Amino acid sequence: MTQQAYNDRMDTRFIETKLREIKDLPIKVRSWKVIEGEDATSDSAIWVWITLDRSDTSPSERAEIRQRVRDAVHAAANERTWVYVRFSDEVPEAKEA
Amino acid sequence: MSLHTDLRHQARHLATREPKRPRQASLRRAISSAYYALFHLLVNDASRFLVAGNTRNPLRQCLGRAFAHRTMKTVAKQFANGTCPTKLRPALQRQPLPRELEEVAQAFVDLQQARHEADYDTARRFTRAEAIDLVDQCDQAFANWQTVHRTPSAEAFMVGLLAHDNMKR
Repeated sequence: MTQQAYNDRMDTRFIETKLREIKDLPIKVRSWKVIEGEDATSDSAIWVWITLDRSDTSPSERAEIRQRVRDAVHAAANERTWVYVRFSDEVPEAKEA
Repeated sequence: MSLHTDLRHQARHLATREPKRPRQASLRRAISSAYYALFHLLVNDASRFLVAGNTRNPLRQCLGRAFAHRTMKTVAKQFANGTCPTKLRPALQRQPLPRELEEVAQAFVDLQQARHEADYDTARRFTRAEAIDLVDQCDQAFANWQTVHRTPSAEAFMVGLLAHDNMKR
């Protein structure tokens, strides 16, 4: 997929919509935020910030969510742009990198 | 105790040391330590694999200084996506990449980026939840590595971490 096609389909709202469609996650997600940018080595990347509904989460629960989020973004994009999944109760406003 | 194990413990300690209001410095150093724990684990094991023998520590240490973060990330991204670089593929002996190795590679890429943000992006504010999640990723990567580090795939991964950029042509 070309960069142009990628940009046509993959704005952050589109990704957020796809993420909200993920069913049966082990923990309910309170909010999603998707930020596009370049990472430290200037590669295109997507950050998905997730605030979970509870704080007492296990590493395996977060690992499952992380993988399913990556799979959902890659399926939506048909693109292997790296997806950084971060769990936090504060979400940065500015893009990363 | 090894450097990588100490760093892993230090990461957990720093992420949890202030019970109520964690200092940004503690969280940033926790994230950085988590990355370097995994970095040194992989460099240590790759160096031991490539230069074996109890009397070769000085040579191994020389080799250990040849690993480059960017090359390691390039290789880790490919393994994380379930693909082995073409030049290394014969070493896999037609075996699929173990899922645990993909997860180690994934954690390496994630932690390297987080380390960069923690060390250089002073505008960022880190939370304990974020730091703990990254430290947990590091712990899981250590556990996964223990299950796969003697497989042909892991051996190809270790060679790639060092030599990938010189194997392109």
